[in-house]
Amino acid sequence: MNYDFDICVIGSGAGGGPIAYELSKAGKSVVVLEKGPWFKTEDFSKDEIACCRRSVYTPNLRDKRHVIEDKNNNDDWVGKSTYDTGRDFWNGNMVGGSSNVMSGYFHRLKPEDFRLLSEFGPIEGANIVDWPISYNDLEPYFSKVEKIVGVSGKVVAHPHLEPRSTNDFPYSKTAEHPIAQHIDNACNNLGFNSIPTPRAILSQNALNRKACSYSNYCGSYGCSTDAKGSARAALLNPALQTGNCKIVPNAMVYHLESDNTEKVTSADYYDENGKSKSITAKIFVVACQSSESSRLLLMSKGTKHPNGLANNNNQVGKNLIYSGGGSGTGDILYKNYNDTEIAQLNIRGLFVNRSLQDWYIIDDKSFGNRSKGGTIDFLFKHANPIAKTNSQKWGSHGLVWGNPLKNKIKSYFTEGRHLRFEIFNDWLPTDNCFVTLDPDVKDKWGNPVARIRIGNHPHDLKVGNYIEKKAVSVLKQMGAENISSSISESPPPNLVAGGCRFGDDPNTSVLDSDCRAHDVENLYVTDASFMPTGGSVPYTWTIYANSFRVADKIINTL
Amino acid sequence: MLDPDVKSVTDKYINKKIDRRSFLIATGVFAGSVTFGSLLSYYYKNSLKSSPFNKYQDKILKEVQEHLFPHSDDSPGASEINALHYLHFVLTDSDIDDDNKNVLISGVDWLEEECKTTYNKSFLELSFEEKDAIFKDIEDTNWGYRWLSLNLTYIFEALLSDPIYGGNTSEIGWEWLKHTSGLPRPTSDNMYGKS
Repeated sequence: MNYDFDICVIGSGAGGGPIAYELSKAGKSVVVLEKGPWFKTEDFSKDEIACCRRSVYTPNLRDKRHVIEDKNNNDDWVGKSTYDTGRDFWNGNMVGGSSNVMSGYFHRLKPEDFRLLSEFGPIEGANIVDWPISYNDLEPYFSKVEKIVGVSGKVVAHPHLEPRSTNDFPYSKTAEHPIAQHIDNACNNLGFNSIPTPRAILSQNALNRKACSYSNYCGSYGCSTDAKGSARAALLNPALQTGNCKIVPNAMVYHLESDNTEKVTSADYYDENGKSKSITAKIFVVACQSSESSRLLLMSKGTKHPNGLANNNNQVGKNLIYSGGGSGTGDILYKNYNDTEIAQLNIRGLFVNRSLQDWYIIDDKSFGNRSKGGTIDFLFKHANPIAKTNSQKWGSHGLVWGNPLKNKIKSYFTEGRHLRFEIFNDWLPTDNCFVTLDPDVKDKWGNPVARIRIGNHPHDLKVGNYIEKKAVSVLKQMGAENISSSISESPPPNLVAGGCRFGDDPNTSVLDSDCRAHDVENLYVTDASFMPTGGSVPYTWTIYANSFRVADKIINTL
Repeated sequence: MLDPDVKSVTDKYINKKIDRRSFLIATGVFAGSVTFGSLLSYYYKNSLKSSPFNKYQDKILKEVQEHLFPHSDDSPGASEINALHYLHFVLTDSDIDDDNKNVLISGVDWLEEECKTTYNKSFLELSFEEKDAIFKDIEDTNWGYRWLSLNLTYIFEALLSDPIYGGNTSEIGWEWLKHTSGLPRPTSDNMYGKS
């Protein structure tokens, strides 16, 4: 049989990028189908309206939405359309996916993350399993990402430093804001080990990309120098240069056709004019970001796959996970500093880049049994002035306007800096966090939207609350005022994984250890869907590393 | 919510606070959809060329915006940041939710009705204290809360978006808050709405 391409990749973000990069470099013909538009570097500017106030990088909820199932006051699960609630669950829908708009806080997983069950034991109500691979299997690929995507940092010894095959990062750490020293001092006084946060941002010209310009508009924005290691800049652009890779933007894949041998034969998609088209390939790789990958498989019913592709054991969409934890802020008020210090604190653009992983594993009797903990990242709030101002319109008794509002805004902007922390801990997989197809709500093409139940496990909050106290103690030690923080039961939609977890047993997993579907010979899933447990760090580095690993597996089969 | 490595509640979600469905039911937009629909289609047809408001409504809105965001000695008021013109731009934008446009447009007339009922006067004739009081009154209604909140949001956009969108005259908003814009700034080639 003749195929249009050797490999068809659906989704062009961190999960799809390494496949396109490696396979096209290996001389295979690759097509990447991306439902969003194709923005080039010159299309990005530091424009809050385009970035964050309108539906430019994400779909308008009129056209494409989700249904989110949350618990109501009677403890019943109730689904509401995100169009009705405004609770947007989209991330970056464009060539390169949401890696274009990430901040690039890059932490590796640690060996214990691969064996949560055997290391810490079961937790009632959580579907915890060990991974079918170990840290050692993924380590070479974490290193590969450092070099190819570009990770800047400095290795500093600390109690939970993961084993490395290289001594240090290939790129020196990005420039740091003077407040990093204040954080280090506070941590020293408290006996904590603050470490420089590795970033997927080039600190120097390299890889045919320019160094960071420290524009102060990083997270949520596309990068104007390509310093940020988006799948677009770091992987798809080089893939295109091989001449073996084709990217089709505005291509919404709605069905994967399968034949009587259980193999996928074509990807059916709507082009930008809404016309249905089809592409054949030897191998198909799905990487649409977890909930949409599960949705596509569930929509792709076939003779041999009556419940959806790769779903003969009814596992697709189950064990969806987010990131547990929460965030907090404290005000570093200028009134407490001298003029020289104020001038330093007022510098814009440089990165805070400080993390704490002292409680990545909690071994503290006051907490209970030895347990998996998490990571604290320190950062300044995103520059976005409109969003910041908008949050000032609510006072203790409703809306504020007139001079009281203006005084509030001015004080917020000019009297100090707002130092933020974010806590990342495991969102344990449970039977109450999963994706199905909504029976009623459709997208603009008439296809069922993803219906996502977002239940969490109480243990996640217990861990988050423990780490929150440590983070708050740093802010207090720094002399921050107006400290507020919260550990949330609500999932951050941008930090999503699972739904097609990998494992050795087809009865309890969707993918095998190579991220190939147990029951579909030529189908792989390479976004964060494969993760049975999430670790306690942002997902992007792990997605990249695993996708590079799977690329090697695919090359071996061709 | 875009950034895949940072946790935050979406600003859009915070903006709304009120569930759209409960809002629509509470304000009777479902029942009155014929009126609203025809109102909206009228404005859409005409919006690109002219203001979606008549002159009198424009005058009220200007006063409303100035009361919400007044001039002071060290800071610009709504008229100095071109907030009314900016609101016209918002209402021609197909990305903005139709229900929000409905509220923004109809709210002007509803406010006038409230003023007539309470004070037997137009909003334009109210004292500072009466304006404050009427805003507090309507804030307790679903439509009034949403209308005030949306008006504030778009005033803030006029204050702090790039001047290329018609607000933030001569960067006066950035200057007031000592805000440094990021580079590169949007150009006529890549600004929002250009594609």
